[in-house]
Amino acid sequence: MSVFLARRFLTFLITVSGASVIIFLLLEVLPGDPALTMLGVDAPDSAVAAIRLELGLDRPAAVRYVDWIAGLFHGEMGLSYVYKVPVTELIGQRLRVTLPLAIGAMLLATLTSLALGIFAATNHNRIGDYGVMGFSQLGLAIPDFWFGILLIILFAVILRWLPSGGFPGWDEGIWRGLRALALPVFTLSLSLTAMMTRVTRSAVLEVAREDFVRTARAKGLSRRAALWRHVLRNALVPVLTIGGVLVASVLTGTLIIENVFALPGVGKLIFDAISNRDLMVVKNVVLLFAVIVVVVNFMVDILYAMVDPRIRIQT
Amino acid sequence: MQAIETVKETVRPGQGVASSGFVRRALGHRSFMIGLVLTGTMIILALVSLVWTPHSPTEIVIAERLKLPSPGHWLGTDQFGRDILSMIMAGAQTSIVVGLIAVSLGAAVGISLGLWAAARRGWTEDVIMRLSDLNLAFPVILIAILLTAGWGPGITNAILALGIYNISVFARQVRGAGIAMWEREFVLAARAAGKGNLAITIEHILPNIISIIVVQATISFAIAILAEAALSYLGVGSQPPNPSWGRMLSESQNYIFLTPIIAVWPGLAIVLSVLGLNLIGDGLRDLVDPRLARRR
Repeated sequence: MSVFLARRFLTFLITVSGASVIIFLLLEVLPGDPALTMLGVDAPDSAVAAIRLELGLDRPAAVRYVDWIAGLFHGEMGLSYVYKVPVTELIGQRLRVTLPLAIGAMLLATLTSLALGIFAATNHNRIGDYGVMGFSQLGLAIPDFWFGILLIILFAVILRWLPSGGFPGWDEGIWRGLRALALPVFTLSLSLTAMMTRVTRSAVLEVAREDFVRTARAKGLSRRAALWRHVLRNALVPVLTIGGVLVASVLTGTLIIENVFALPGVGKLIFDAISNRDLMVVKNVVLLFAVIVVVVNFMVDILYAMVDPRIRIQT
Repeated sequence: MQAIETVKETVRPGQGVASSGFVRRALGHRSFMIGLVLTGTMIILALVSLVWTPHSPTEIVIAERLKLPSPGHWLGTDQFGRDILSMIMAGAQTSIVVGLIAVSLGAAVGISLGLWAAARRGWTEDVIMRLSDLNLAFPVILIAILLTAGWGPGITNAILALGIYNISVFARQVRGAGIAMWEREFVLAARAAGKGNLAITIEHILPNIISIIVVQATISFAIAILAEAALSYLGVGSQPPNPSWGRMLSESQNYIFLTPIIAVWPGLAIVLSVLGLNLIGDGLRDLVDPRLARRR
């Protein structure tokens, strides 16, 4: 196990370092002068010179890269060129919206998909199973931004029950905040639910055919007891393997959903930063997201190897 | 955007697509046929739009703005008075072109890398798989954000982002299936006959995993259509005046309080196209490996 852990950790470090190099190259080296990228090619020379000095862009690329990484180790991401505040502060503020959105959607999707997946598997090849599979097929095909717009039309335009977008801030009261996040959370959870329902259903069906389940039934255990005591525990292992994919889906989902509902989260921040050519914000937010994806994949690998020793041997 | 990161489905090596009863079984596979009809409709709409659309998809007629569906405009008009049906037909071209180029790019590079890793194993495989890990750290939208921040928005960046993302998807799939093939007796026989890695890969490995590649390409195509729409919705994909379903949705959002129906059509076009391709992908998987169909 320790060899496996060491190998995985080394891969993790290489991947994170590689990701930071790619981000830096794509934003600050390959497009040419980053000062011109930020101000545009028609910007006056004096302005370009000023921003080079202000952001230290006159130094060699290698020095800037090392400075960036060294800063990250001290929790510093530099200064936003547009907002004139530290990027860490900006991200911290925006996470107050993005995190509840992501966590809410994950929770809702997990609960719903476990219920639906188990229901479909226990009603295999019956009408309930077909209904759930039809729902999950549709859920995978519906773009979440369109689903969000449809929910706005229904709940904000027609019924006028919920706001169509925006976020009042948690200072205005938890209830108002939760109300603003209700439609975004529901929207974001749709595709996750569809994805996890399919995996849960397949996993439960697969485990239910295993010999140990048959043995448990032969020993007199009821169908329901076998399901809860043996099948579900084992079926959760394959569900775990898509953890990395799910987190990546949630992250990219928040980027889109925040723009659909005009929520001031990290997703809105990064697209505003692209419009404003605020490279410092883009660079750090993209790295943050990439690191989260890599960390989750790393954790899933470790957890999976812990519950299934064959993985350690294969790797 | 969910499908940008949809679960990477795995397919087991099975019999070739071109087996004798394949067409008969395909015709009897209900969801595969539904998928074929939906996808066929999208392709026909795109092809017809090359030579004919009911109105010009880009012509602005302010007097006709935000009209509800009528005999003159079957799906109504948008905020600039453009005919929505014509825009959807032309938008199908964008989706298909982006999907085809992006998946071909990802498949070409990914399949080559996957075959190479399976044939060589050892450090070659290690390097390719670590590069693939790195690739997976960047979901499509992050790649698109990086390219857009560096070079500005555009359809080329959307295609590149999708293509780059697909490289690791194909590389992993092909490597896994390729390794399994390299352990089969007929490969040992070919080796005993003096054939080299390249010849074995081209003559024996590739033909035996082609069905897996076809299934993956179908799924990736569906994901590409969703991703292109999402990127265009966010303003980092297809740019005006090039019609795009994602941008139609983004523009319609400002008018949903006045004419909600205009936000329905482009979304429906995306759903039906993606659903069609997903059903084809699922159907192909069943047809290629009936063991999976029984298990499902």
